[in-house]
Amino acid sequence: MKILVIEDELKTAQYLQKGLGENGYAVETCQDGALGLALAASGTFDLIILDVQLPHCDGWTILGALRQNDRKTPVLFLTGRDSVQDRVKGLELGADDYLIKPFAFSELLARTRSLLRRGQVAPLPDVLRIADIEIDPMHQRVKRAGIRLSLTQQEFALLALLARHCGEILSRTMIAEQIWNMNYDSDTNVVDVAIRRLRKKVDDPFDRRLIRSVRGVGYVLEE
Amino acid sequence: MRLTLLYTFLAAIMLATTLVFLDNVISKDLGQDEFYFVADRVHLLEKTLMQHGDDQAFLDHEVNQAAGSDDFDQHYIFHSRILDELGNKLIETAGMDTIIRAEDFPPPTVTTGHAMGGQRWRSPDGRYYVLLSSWASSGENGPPRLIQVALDESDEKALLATSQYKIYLAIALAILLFAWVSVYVAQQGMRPLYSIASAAERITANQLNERLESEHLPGELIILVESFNNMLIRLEDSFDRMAAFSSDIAHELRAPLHNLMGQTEVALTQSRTAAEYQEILESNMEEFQRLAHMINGLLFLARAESPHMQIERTTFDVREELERVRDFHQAVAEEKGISLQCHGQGRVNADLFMFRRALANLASNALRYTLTGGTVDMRVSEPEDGCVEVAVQDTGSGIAAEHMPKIFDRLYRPDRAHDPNDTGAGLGLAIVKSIMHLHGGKVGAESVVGKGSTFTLTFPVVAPARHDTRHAELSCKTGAMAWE
Repeated sequence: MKILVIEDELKTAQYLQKGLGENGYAVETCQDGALGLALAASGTFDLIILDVQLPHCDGWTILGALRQNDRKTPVLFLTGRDSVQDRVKGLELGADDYLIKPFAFSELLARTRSLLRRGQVAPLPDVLRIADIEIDPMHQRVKRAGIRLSLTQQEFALLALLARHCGEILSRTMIAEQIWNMNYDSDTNVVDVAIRRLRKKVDDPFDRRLIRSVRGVGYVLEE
Repeated sequence: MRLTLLYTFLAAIMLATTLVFLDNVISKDLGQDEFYFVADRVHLLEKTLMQHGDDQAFLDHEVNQAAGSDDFDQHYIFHSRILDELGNKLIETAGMDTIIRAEDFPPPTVTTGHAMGGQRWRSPDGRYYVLLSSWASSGENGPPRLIQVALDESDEKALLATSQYKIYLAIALAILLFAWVSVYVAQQGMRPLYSIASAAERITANQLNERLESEHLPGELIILVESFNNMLIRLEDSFDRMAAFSSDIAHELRAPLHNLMGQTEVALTQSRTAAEYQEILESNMEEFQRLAHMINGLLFLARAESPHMQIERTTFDVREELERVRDFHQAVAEEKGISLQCHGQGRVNADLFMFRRALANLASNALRYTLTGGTVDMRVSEPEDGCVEVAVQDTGSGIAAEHMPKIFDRLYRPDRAHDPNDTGAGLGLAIVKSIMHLHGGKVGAESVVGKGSTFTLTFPVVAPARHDTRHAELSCKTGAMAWE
C-alpha cells in the first residue's frame, strides 16, 4: 500500500512518514503543492494525505485538479482551520475524510486504515476470538477461558470495539465517538474509568492482561 | 458654529423686515400729513377768494403773513400763488417766483373745490416740494382763479433720510450684537460638551477607571455622561477580564511547557535505557495532550466570538441526549457512588454536538464537585412560550458567592490553589456560556455552599422559518443582548 503525504511542515511530514512506515505502509512525502499535484496525478498511490495550506498550489486546487481525472484514489485532508465551511468545502471537492490539526497519530492511522479497507471489508465473523476471549456480538455474550463474563451493555460495546480493532491503539477520542457518539473534548476521565471497569471483569480475574494502556495515546486489545 | 450663524441670519432677517416695515409706515404717514396740509391751504385760499374776492389785503394775509406766523405750525415752509384765468399773477408769497414758477405746477386735477393729494416735485437746486393746484372762483360766481400751493418738505425728507440711516445702522448693530451674543450663548451651552469631549480624548486603555463629572451639567447632558460612564464601566470590566485571561493563559501554558523542558533536559544530560526514554516520552505525551486540549478549547472560544461563526441547527429530543450524556458519565458516577438521573421531556432546535458538549461539561463538573452518596439530576422542561430549559443540579460542594460572577470566565478556577490534581483546563463553563451565546440563549447558575449548585441552560424559541438553518448570525446578536 503506497501513501502520498503532501505536507509543507517538515516535522509533520517526517513523523507521518515514520509512523505510517512502521505500520506497514510505503510512504512518499512532498512539501510543495505543485510537485504534490504532479505526484498525485501519476496515479500510483493508494491514498493521498493532503494538507490544505501549501506553498505554490493549495490543497483545494490539488484536490480539484485530481478529481477531474481520477475519481477513486481516496484523499484524506488535514486542516488547521477548524471551521465548518472548510470541512464542507473539502468534502464537496471530493475528499473522503478529514482531520483537524492538531490530531492524534492514532487517529490518523485509524482513518487511514478505514479508507484503505473501504470496499474490501470482510463481513464480521459471527464470533470474534482474541486469545482466549470469545465475543458473540449477536447475543451480546462474552466468554474468557470458557467462563461466561457478565458485562453491561456499555462494557460489551467497549470490548467489541477493542476486539474489532485488535492490535490497533484506539485513542480516547475515538472510543468516546464510537461508543457514546460524544466528542471527547471535555475535562473528563470518563473513558479511563470505563476501561478500568471493563478490565476489572475481563482482565483482573485472569493471569494474562489483554487490554493494555498506551500511556498518553490510548488503549489496545492485544492477542 | 453653523447653528450660531443660522440663528444670527434668521434674527437679521426678522429685524430687517420689522424695521423696514416700520420705516415704510412712518414715511408714508409723514407724506400723508404733507398732502393734507397743502389741501388745507388750498381750501383756505378757495374760501378766502369766495368770501373776499380779489381783495389784496385778505389774500396777502393768507399768502404772506400766514407763512411763518404763529398760527401755523412753524415747521412748515410753504408758498402760495393765485393766478387769474389767463395765467396772470395776482399775488404770491414773496420770492416764490425764484423757487417755483407757475408752469412747474401740474394742472389742477379737479375743477370744483375739492382738490386733494398733490404731486411731489424736486426743484433744480435740489429741494423737495409737494405741489397742489386748484381752480376757485373770486366771490360768488366770480371769474375763475388758479390757486397754487407748494410745501417745502426738504427738511422732512432729510429727517426721514437720517432716521432711515439710523434704522439701517441699528439693524447692522443689532445683527452684530445678536451674532456676538449667540456665539457666546452657544459657547456657554457647548462648554460641557467640550469638557466631555476632552475628557473622552484623555481616556485610553490604561485609564479606563476615569469617569466624567455629571455634576453641574444640564439635564440632557447628564444622560449622555451617565451612559458614557456606564460604557466605561463595561469596557473596564472587559479589559480587566482580558488582562486576567492573558495572565492566566500564560500561566496555564507555562506549567506544562516547564515540565516538558525540565524533564527532557534532565533526560538528555546522560544516556538512558530504552525503558527510561519511553517513560519520559509518555510523560511528555501527557503534557502535550494537556496543551493541545487547552488550545483546542481556547480556539473554540475564539471562533465562537467571531461574527462569522455558524452553527448547524437541528431539532432533536432532549431526553435522548440527557440519557446519552448520562450513559457517557455512568461509569464515573458509579465509581464515585453518585446517583445520576434524567428527568422530563422536551425537544429543542440547536446544534446537536454543541448541545452535547455543553451538557457533558456541566455533567462532568457536577460529578467532580459532588461527593459519594450525592445526586446529580439532569432535567429538561419547557417553562414558557417555547423556551426550553435544561438544568443540571448537584448536591456538591457549591460555589462561594464571591466566585459566582467569574465562574464563566475563561481559565477561572476558584479552587485552583486547593486542587493541584485538577487536570481540567478551566474552560468548561466558558465553553458552555459561549455555546449558549451562539444559540441566542443563556446559562444561569445558582449555588449554595455545602448544598450544591444548579446550572440552567435556556434555549429561546426559534422561529419555524429558521429551523435547520446554518446561519446563526441573528441569534448570535440576540445572544449578545441576552448576556448584557
